[in-house]
Amino acid sequence: MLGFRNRQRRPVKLSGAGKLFVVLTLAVGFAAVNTGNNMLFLLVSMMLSLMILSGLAALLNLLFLQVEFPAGQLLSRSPDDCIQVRVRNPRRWSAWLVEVRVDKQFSRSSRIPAQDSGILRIPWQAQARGPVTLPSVLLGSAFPFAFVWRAKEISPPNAPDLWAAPLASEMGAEMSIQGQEQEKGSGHGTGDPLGLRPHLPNEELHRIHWRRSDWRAGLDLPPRLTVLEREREQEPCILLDYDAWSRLSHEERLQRLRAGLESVQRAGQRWQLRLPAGIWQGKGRRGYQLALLALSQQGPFLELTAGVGKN
Amino acid sequence: MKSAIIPGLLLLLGVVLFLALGSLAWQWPVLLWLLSNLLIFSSRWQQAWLHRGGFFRFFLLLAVLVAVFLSSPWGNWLALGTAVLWTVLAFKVLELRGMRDLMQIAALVLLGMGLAAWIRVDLALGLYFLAELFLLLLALLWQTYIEQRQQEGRLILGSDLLRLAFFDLFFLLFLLPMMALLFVLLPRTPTPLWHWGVGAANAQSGFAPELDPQHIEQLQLDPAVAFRAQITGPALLPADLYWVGAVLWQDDGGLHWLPGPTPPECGRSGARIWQQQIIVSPGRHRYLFALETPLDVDSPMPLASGTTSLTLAHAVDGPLRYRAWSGRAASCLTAGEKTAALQVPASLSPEIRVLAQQLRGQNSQETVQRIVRWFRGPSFRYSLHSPPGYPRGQTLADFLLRTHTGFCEYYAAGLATLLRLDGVPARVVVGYRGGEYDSLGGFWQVRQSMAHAWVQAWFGGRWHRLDVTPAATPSNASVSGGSALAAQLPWGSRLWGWLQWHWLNWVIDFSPEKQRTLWRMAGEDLQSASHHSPIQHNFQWPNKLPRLPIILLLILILGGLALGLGRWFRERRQDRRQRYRERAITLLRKKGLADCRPGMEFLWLESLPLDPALRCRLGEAIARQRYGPSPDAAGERALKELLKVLAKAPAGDHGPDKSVDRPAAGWQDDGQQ
Repeated sequence: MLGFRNRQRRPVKLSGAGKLFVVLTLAVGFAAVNTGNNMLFLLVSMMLSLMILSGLAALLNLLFLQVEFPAGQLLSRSPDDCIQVRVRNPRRWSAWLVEVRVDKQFSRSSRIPAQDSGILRIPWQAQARGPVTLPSVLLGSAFPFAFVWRAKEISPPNAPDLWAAPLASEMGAEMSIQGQEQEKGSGHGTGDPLGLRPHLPNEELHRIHWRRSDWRAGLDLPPRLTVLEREREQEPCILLDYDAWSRLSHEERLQRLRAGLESVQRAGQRWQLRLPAGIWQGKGRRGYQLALLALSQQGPFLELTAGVGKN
Repeated sequence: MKSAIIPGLLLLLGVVLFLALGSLAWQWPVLLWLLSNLLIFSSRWQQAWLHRGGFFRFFLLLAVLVAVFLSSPWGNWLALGTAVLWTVLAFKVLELRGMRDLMQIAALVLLGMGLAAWIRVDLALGLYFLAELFLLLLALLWQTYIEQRQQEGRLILGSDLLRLAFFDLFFLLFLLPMMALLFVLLPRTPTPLWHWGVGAANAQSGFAPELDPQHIEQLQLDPAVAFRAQITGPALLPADLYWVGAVLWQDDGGLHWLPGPTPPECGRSGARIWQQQIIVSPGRHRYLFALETPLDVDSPMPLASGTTSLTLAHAVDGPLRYRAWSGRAASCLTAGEKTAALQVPASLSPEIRVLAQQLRGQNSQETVQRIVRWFRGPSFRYSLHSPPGYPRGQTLADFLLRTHTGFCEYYAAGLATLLRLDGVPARVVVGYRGGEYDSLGGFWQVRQSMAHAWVQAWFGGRWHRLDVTPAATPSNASVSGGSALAAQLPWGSRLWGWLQWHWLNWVIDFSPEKQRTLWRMAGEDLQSASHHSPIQHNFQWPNKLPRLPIILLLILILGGLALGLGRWFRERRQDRRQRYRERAITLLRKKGLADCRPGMEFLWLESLPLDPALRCRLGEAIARQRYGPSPDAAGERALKELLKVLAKAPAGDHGPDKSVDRPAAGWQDDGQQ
C-alpha cells in the first residue's frame, strides 16, 4: 500500500446553494443593521455561525483521512477504466460524502465508517503504456450542508504500483495472431494423474484437490490449495511471440501482442505469451490479467511528460 | 417508507413555520401548501405534476398568485407576503426533486421566519427558529445522503440517518454559543435607517388610557405578560400592587372616562419608597407604569410635560426598560385639579343624582365611608359578562340602580361619579393590579388579564386609593377585582417567565448602549485580570441564583451528557456480538485468567480444582459467549452466575496456573504465521 502525505493546499469551491446562502446572509444582515431589529441580528448570527461551523465540520470530516492506491492495479486503457483508491479513516468518527477527484473525474462514498476504509473507483484513462504517473489528486467533501466543496490536495506517490497496458493494435486481432506459431499440446489426453502442484491464480476452482489442500492455519491464513495435474487432451496453443515482428518498433510489437491476447481470450483458446521478460501462459480469460500486466511492465518505456505520455 | 423521509421533514418544517407565523398564517394558501405537501408523499402524484411541463406550472403559479393578490386585503402587506410565501412554497414542494429544490425551499422557509420576526419577538419565536434550523439542516443532511446512496445503488440505512440526526444535534449545541457570541459582537447602529418597530402582532400593548368596558372585557381574557418588574423597598402583597397607568379626569358620560385636559398639577414630590426596574413587553407604548403614586422615572425616552401619569412624549415601539420610584400618596391638590376632579357631565341621569344625595354624609370622609359601604353591600356582584336582560351592555344608571353586577370599570366609574356628585374630588385610575412573583428571577410578572381600574379620592388632605370592586369570582381567580392574587407560579411557568425575562433583557432589548456597556465591562475585566487584581465586574447575576452551584450543575450536566453520549456512540460503533465477547474476556480476567488468547481459558479451567460438572458448565458458558455464533445478555448472565460460584470456592483453588497460562511454543508459532 502506498500511503502518502498531503500538501497544505485546500481548494474551496462555493456551490450554488452556498452562493444563495451567502446572498441571503448578506440580505438579512443588511436588513438587521438598517432596522436594528434584534431578531434579525439573531438570524444573521445564526447564519454566520452556520457558515463558520459548517466549514469546521468540513475540515474535521477530511481530517486524518488517508488515500492509498492498492498495489498491482492495471489499467487496460479502455473507456471504462477505473483507478481504485482506498480511503482509510483511522479516526473514531465516520467520514461522510468523501470524494476523490483525479483530473475532472471523481467518485464519492456516502460514508466511510470509523476505523475502516472504503474503495472508490474513479473513471480515468491512462494515456501511455507503462507505469502510470498520476496527476494531482483531490480528497474533498461537500459535507455537511453542501454549501461549500472543500478539499485537500494530495501529492501522488512518485512510483505507484499502477500500470497501463498497451493499446490493442488497430490492425485487428486476426492480423495480430497471423504468423504466430500454433503449438500442439504435449499430453496424450489419457487423463492419467501426473502429480500434485500448487493452485495457480485464476485457475478454476473445480481443479482444486480439496483433500490434499492444507487447512491447518484455519481462517487466519489462506489455505494452501493443491491441484491434481492430469494428462490433457490434445489442444492447440497460440504462441504470441515478441520476436515474431522484428521489423516493428517495441511499442508496435506490444500493441500487436495485446490485440492477439484479446483475440485468444475472447475465443477461449490456450495461449502462450513470450516476452523478453519471460513467458506467460493461460487459456482464454485465465491468466489474461497477468499477461496484460506483463505487457504493461515490459521495458523500455516511453519518456513521459507530466503524467501524460505519447503512445 | 424511506421515500417519505424528506416529505415528512418538509411537513414538519411547514408546521413550525405555521406556528411561528401565528395568526398571520391563517390564510387559504396554507391549505394549498398542505395539499401539495401531502401529495408528494406519493411519487405518482409528483411525477404527474412534473410531467405537466415547466410553462404550465409557471403560468398556473402566476394565476394562483393573482388570485392571492385579489383575495388579500389591500394594504396589509404582511398578510399578502405570507399568502404569497405559502403559495410559492406549495408549488416548490411539489417540484422537490433534489438538493437544489430543497435549498430553495429552505430559503423560502427562512424568508417565512423573517416575516415571523416582523410580527413577533417573543421567546417562543426563538424556539421556533431553533426548531426550524434543526429541521432544515437535517433535511439538507439527509437529502445529500439519500441522493448519494441512490447514486451508489445502495440501500438507505436508518442507522446512518440516525447518525446524521445526532450530528445535527451536536452541531446545534456548538452553534448556539457561537451564535450568542456573534450576536453580541455584531455592530449596532444607534439610529437605524429604517425603524422597523415590533410588527403587527405587537402593535397594541393591550393597555388603553381610557375607561371602556368592552375593551377591558377583552383585555381581562388575555394572559399575555404586560410587563415585568423588580421592586426594591418594603415588601408588598400581590393584592397591594396597584400599577398606575393613566389617570382619567374627564367623565365623558357615565362609563366612558378619558384623561381629558390636564389640570395644572403641583408636581411630583414626596418620599421615594419603592424603586422599580420595569421591562414592558414589546408593543407600542405611550404610558409607563409605576406603583401607587409615581414620583420619578429614569427612562431613555422623554416624558410628556404637564401630565399626571407617566406619559411618553412619543409612542415607542419595542420593549421598554425604565426605572421608576414611587411613594405612598400625593398630598397636593391645586385649584385646577379640584375643579377637574369634581366635573360631572350634564347628561348624567337624575336618578344617579338622587342616589348620590341619599349617600351624602356630614363631611367628605363620612361620605366616602357611606358610599364605599354601599358598594360593598351583598347586592353587588362581580361579573365580566353583562347581566341577563342587557344583551347590548348596561349603562352606569343600570349598574348603579338596577343590576349591581359588573366589573372593575363599572365600579370605578360608579364610585367616582357618586363621589363627585357628593363634592368629593375623585379621579379614575387605570392600570394593573397584582402580579405573579417569579422567585427564580426575583421579579413580578404582570399580565394583561390583571388590567384594572380604581379610584383616587381627595379627603383628609391627601389622595386616597379606593377600590370597591368585589373579590374575583372563583372562575376568574387571577382576574382583577380585589382578589388575593397568587404570589407564586408553578415551576414550569416560573422557568418560562425567567427565560422570557432574560430573552427580553439580552436579546430583544440588546441596544447599542447595552452592547457598549458589556464590552466595556469585558475590557475592564480583562484589564483587571492582566494586572492580577481581583476582578470587579458589574455583571448582574440573576437575583437569588447561587452562582457556584449553578455553574457546577451546568458543568456536571454537560460533562454527564458528553460522557453518556460518548459511551453510547462507542457502544453503537462496536458490534454487539463483539461487545459480548470482550465482556466475557473481561469477566474471566477478573477471575484470574492471565492469558486471553483463544483457547487458553479452557486450559485455565482444567487447571482449577473444580467440580467436573461446574467445570463443564463453565466451559459451555465460555464457549457460548466467546466462540458461539450469537453471544447475548442471557449467556452473559449465566456466565456471571457460574463465575460467582467459582468465586465462592476457597481462595487459591482457582488461581492462575503459570505453567498452564504460559503459551505453548507451537501455538505461538502458528499464531505468528
